Amino acid sequence: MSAVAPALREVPVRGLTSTDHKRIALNLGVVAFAFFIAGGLLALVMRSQLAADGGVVSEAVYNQLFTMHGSTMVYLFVVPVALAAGLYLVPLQVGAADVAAPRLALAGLWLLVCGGITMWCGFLTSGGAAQASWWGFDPLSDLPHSPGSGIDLWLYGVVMATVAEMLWAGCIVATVVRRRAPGMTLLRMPVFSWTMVVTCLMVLFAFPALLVALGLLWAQRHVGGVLVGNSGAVAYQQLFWFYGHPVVYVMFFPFMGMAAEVVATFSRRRFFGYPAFVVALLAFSGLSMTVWGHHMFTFGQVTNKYFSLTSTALVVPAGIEYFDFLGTIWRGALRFTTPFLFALAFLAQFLVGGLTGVILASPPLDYGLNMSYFVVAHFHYTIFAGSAFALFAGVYYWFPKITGVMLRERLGKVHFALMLIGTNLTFFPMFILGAEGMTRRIAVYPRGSGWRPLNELETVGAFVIALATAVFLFNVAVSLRRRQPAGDDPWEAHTLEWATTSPPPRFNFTALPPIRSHAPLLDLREHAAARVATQEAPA
Amino acid sequence: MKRAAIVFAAWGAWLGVWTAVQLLFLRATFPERTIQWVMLGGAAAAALLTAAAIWRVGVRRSPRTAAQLITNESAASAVLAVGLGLLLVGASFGLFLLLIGAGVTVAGLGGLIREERARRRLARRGAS
Repeated sequence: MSAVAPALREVPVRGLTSTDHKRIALNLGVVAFAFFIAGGLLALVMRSQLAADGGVVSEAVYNQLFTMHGSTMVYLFVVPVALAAGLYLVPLQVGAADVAAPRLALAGLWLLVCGGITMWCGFLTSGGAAQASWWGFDPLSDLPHSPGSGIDLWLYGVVMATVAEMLWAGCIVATVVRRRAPGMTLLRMPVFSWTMVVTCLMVLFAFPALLVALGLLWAQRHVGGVLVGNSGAVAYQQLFWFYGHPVVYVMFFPFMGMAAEVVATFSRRRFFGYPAFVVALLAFSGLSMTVWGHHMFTFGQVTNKYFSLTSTALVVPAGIEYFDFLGTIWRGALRFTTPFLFALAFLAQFLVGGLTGVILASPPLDYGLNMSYFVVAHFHYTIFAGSAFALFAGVYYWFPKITGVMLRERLGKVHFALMLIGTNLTFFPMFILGAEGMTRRIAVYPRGSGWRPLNELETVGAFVIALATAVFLFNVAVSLRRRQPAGDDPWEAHTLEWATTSPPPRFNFTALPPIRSHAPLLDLREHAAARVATQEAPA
Repeated sequence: MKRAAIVFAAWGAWLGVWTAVQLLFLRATFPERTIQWVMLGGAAAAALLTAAAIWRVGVRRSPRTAAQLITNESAASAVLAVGLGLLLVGASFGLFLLLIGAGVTVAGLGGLIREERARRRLARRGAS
């Protein structure tokens, strides 16, 4: 019998105040996944409403549903789960004993919990939860248009979640700066750790704009005279989107890093073009700070040519990264495990999201498609069909390290198949509906529009995704109950976290292997193979 | 870790380049769209300042044992976070919540001080 998953069997209260970065990250992951389920349930109600073309909920409730769905997914699930992965894995990958400032990371976990509860408490107020979308745009969110306290609770929840996210980013960056093991130079850090570095740069330098925007919104609601007229609304949008576009990449880079680790391991090859990938990441993340204005093309209040240039220029670093992925897979000895299948689907589906983003980066095309379901399809292909698939690739890949047990492979493939079908059924028809003119955030659409069959198809897809999620949860439960011990390195992986036990001890390592590249364990295996070959060669 | 400072500096400089490009595009409209270039320029400046701070401090790598002096549990950190959350929500929902939040925050701060004193005692004992 193995010492399976002690992390999951600790006394609950002690686990909730642990300063161990792995425990904090695990708790954070569980909290974020709970919010994913909650946000997903809201989506199912919305999809039911649209399949029936009204009648399930009122328009006011529908407004609350899409606001809380978007807010939950962005503020409480995707960004926290991305940073949770960083909190867990970055110290292990750089050979550190612990994360820097673990108490701040712990405080962040509790801030997120408080923020999430606060936000969801809006449903208990007389006016219901916030209805001004996950953007909370002024004047929709000011006192005359959003009189209840639901929007205030939303605002406080978002502030708490955002501060928590900044705390985690600070901890991760400080770990990389201060705590790397001897020999772990910056250019020997694994790809995933690099994606976390650029993610944290964006969190630290873009997220404060959201706090400023929400501070102004609070002042506008409670004092007044702050966000006045058109200029006030535009100022809020500028501040919000200065946060709002980088956050899209915060919801992408870590998952791309996960997919990169998975692809390299299951191609049995060193990640191709590592230095170019790192440079592309830095360029990509910097450039992604300069594109926010494309959300405001139709306003006539931003420099469209500049933002079109920067938005289109994103394809250059993105292309380099895709080339590196393909170079890694090319002529690799591929193993089609569940994590690898999820990573491949991430690459294909994110490409759809990325290429439709190029369409939206063109102002003339954006004028036609803005606020339509085409945009909804685009970002769901990037965030769900892209990042969520890479997240599941990462979950299947690192689950053995985190718990000491393997997830069931056959159930994993069922999960993958259902997710693939459900995702494309749900989100692909949105491109067609958007091109036909169906606007987003409508609870009821015109009777003679002919949009109902595609909406019904999307709803079927949404329920298939729910079924896939149920299969995943069943897989986790079964795997933890009927344990298949994983061993320290079940995948023959490349990076340092696989050099320690599964799950890792409190301070991560008892000894570290020599670090000579970004794939130290692959170096060891290659070195051993070369030595055997030398010994077997005739004298 | 001066190489880490270079990453911050390069990233800040890259943002600076795009701020300059933006100013070229703005030309006549640049006074009305101040916020547009101030935000990006501000982020660039903040990244460069962070780089300078890391370079100047020359942050040393902590010994592996340093991490082990951190307490394994920190209920005070959790209490402090909850207290700050209550204070924030109390800003709209009444004095009673502000007072509760303030009390919880003080309790959290007290706990942190207690933890820090215990850590120092442990460090002294380890040194001797």
